[in-house]
Amino acid sequence: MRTAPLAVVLLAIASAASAFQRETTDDPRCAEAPNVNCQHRGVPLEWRTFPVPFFVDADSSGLATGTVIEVAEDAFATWQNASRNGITFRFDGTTSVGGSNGDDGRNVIHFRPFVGGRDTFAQSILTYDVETGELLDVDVELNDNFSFAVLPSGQNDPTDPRVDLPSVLTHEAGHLLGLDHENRFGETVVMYFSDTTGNTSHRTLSGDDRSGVRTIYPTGGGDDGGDDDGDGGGCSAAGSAGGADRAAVVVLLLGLVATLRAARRR
Amino acid sequence: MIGRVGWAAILLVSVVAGARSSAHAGDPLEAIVAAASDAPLAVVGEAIRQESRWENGGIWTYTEFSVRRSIGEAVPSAILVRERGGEVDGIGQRVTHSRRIDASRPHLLLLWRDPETGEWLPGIGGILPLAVTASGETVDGVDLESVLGALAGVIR
Repeated sequence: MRTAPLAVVLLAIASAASAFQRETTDDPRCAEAPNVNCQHRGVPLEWRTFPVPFFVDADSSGLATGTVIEVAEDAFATWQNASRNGITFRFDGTTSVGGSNGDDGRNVIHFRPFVGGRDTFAQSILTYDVETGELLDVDVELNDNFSFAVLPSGQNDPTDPRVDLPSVLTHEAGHLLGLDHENRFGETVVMYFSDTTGNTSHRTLSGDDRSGVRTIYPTGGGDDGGDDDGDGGGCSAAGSAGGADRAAVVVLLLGLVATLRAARRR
Repeated sequence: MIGRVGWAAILLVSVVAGARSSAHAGDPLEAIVAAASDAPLAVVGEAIRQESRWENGGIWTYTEFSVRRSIGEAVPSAILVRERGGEVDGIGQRVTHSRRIDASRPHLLLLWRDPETGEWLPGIGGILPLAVTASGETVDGVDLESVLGALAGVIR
């Protein structure tokens, strides 16, 4: 009798540690900061058909096209491997777009100068079905007011004005597959809201990132392609769109009440 | 009488609540001033009407915006603001990292001329909803007058 309510409490605490945030159809933006996540109120966004194709337009990147392609392929492979092929991607070629087009079903990575936002390295344009949350098109825009490069692995030097392209594309690929910023667990999380120049740490997924992609895209089986996961995937149980946090608090309180009542009946 | 199990549960709840409530935000005024760098215009006001439509593969929302305060370039009492994102016929489009103008609230907007259309376009971080408090209007928790004073120093 005493152990059952305690088990409920512990289960609620475990599920309250939701370690990722999903993009949804209704995400009012907020002033993000360390430990401050924005709300997610709508239907979670996700792809329904696979593989998810992508294209690369390296014009105005300052880099060789082959370099940008290789970095993009690696970024998507990182997430695909972490999902154990729950989501798969396919490089479909190069293109010259001149701008994002959310109506053509082509997910394009391209470079352009941003208006304002001089601290913003990149952004993604998500196009989706409002009712179902199905992602239809995602274009990734990189701000070519910055100088992008493939920095030496392991570098973390904010005085270097160059932006690490692999880190930025790994982060934006996270948005492309449906993850939003998770600001509660520090800068090691790839989906953390901010990054600095000269930093390569966001090439590597944290357990929280892995939990996110695996929750959205449960594995369908098959070889995981050399997944280097060694930490069990982080601390989450359910993580749908942040709503699990509120549900977990309710369960937590109910468990506490049950525990107290059980204790009083002794 | 609360037994050991009950106190353990209370302790666990306190730990979780404490961890989740601890926060140290960045400086919002600094972030607003940084977002306004190079902007020719900042306006305070409200949306009068909005319309979203597809244009060249993007969903754009046009907001007729009533201006009650402005810093920078001279503007009339109402301007047209064009922003990326919106919903049309069940299809939604959104820019990650960006807010949208909410017609139910007043805003501070940091604006640039759209190089393609010449219309006013919020820069990244340039859509800032106002909150009305007992002591006046605030922007991301900062008093509006303080924000406008800071912006007057960077917007020419």
